[in-house]
Amino acid sequence: MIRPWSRRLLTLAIAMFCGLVDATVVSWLPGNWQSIRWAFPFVVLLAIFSTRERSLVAAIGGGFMLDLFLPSSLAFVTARFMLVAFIVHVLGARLVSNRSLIGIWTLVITAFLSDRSISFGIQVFMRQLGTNIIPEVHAVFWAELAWLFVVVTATFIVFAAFTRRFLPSVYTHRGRSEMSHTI
Amino acid sequence: MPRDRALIIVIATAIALLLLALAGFVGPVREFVRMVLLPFVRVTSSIGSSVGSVLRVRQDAVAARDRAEELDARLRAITVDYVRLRGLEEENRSLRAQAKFLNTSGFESLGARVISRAILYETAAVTVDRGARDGVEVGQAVLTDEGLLVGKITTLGERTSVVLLLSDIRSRIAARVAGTDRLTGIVEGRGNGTARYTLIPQSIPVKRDDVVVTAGTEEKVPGNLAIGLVNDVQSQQTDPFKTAAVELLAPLDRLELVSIMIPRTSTEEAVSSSL
Repeated sequence: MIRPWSRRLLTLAIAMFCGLVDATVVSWLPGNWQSIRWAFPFVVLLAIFSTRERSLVAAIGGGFMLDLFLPSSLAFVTARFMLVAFIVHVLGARLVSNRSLIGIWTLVITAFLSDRSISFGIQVFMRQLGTNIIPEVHAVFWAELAWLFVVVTATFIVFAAFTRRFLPSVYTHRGRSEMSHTI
Repeated sequence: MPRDRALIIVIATAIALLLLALAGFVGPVREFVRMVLLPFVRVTSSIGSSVGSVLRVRQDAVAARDRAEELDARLRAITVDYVRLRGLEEENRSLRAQAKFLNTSGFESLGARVISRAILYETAAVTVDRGARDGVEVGQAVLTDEGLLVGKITTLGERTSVVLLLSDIRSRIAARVAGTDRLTGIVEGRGNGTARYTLIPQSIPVKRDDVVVTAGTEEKVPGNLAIGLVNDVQSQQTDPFKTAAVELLAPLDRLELVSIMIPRTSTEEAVSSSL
């Protein structure tokens, strides 16, 4: 059994690796291949399907690596990812179900638009301050969104097919292990 | 309410991170992590450049075919053309001057590896694995190993720095036509790997295939570094200046190794401080 701190460290390590891959491998790819990012989908996946705490840990790990090695100056990827993770998690917990495809697609669109809006807002703000910044580059809108859809939908299908995550738990008696209800 | 408290904590942390980054307080942490990770980053960036070149093969084939057709047409038009001979002559002269310059000017080149890139549309910048500790300073010129100008250093860390490439829309560099002896304009980035030579006085003759080189008026950018070839001149009699499209000579979309032009004194200081 993995202890909570080990889980956090594992999440942090995976997120940092994803950020490193984004900064030093994906940035070399031509054109819209650059939409195949790892760190942001990882944060979004955890925000949709896991706990808020783990998604924030992933946001810090992945964002920090991108802030560190991308040429873009003052992109504040860490802070941006944290805000996106929080927004998605709050939305998933209160308004939108993460147990249906329509629900997770709504969350993905929210995450994507939040990320782009915050990024754009920071750039406008820095320009107002008179700072000449190198903006973070993004592949075209539809390519990045399509990649996020693919990742999240595939994860949803895997969960639905191979886990009990989306089955209604039936349960009940103290002392017995939890069982899913099957007809 | 716990959820409200969590919201406040997240927003406060994000804002605190922003403010700390703006104030430069996270710098030492960043530099430490960079130092630890730089060996891994060199490995992953080599993997990235290899994967990138494989994926570019098809694009390269299409680009090479288009380029071949264009060159073919051009070659037919100016096979024994005086202009082309003149262009090659000027280019040759420029490269000779550059080679001579490296030996006599008090600059020397410091090799650097590209570890990360941001090249898409209007943005063209790369991170290299050399920084202030190696004697690098903001504003220094960066060249390919063939001696073609790539861009200038714009952001500096202890062990890494960011090079703004010539095609970035924020890039500006003082330039002149090889063979003339004064500043005649500015080469501005136009995005997508292109650049434009602007603010050329009408009195200065500029033709297709003229070689554009650095003017040498910027403190840390020596003169006579080859930038590109004039491709298409646009001029109206009523305008005080003319402009020209410039075909950049350096392959900006596939840089892996570059050289940073640093004054000899900076290198000596960096070496002595590291000892």
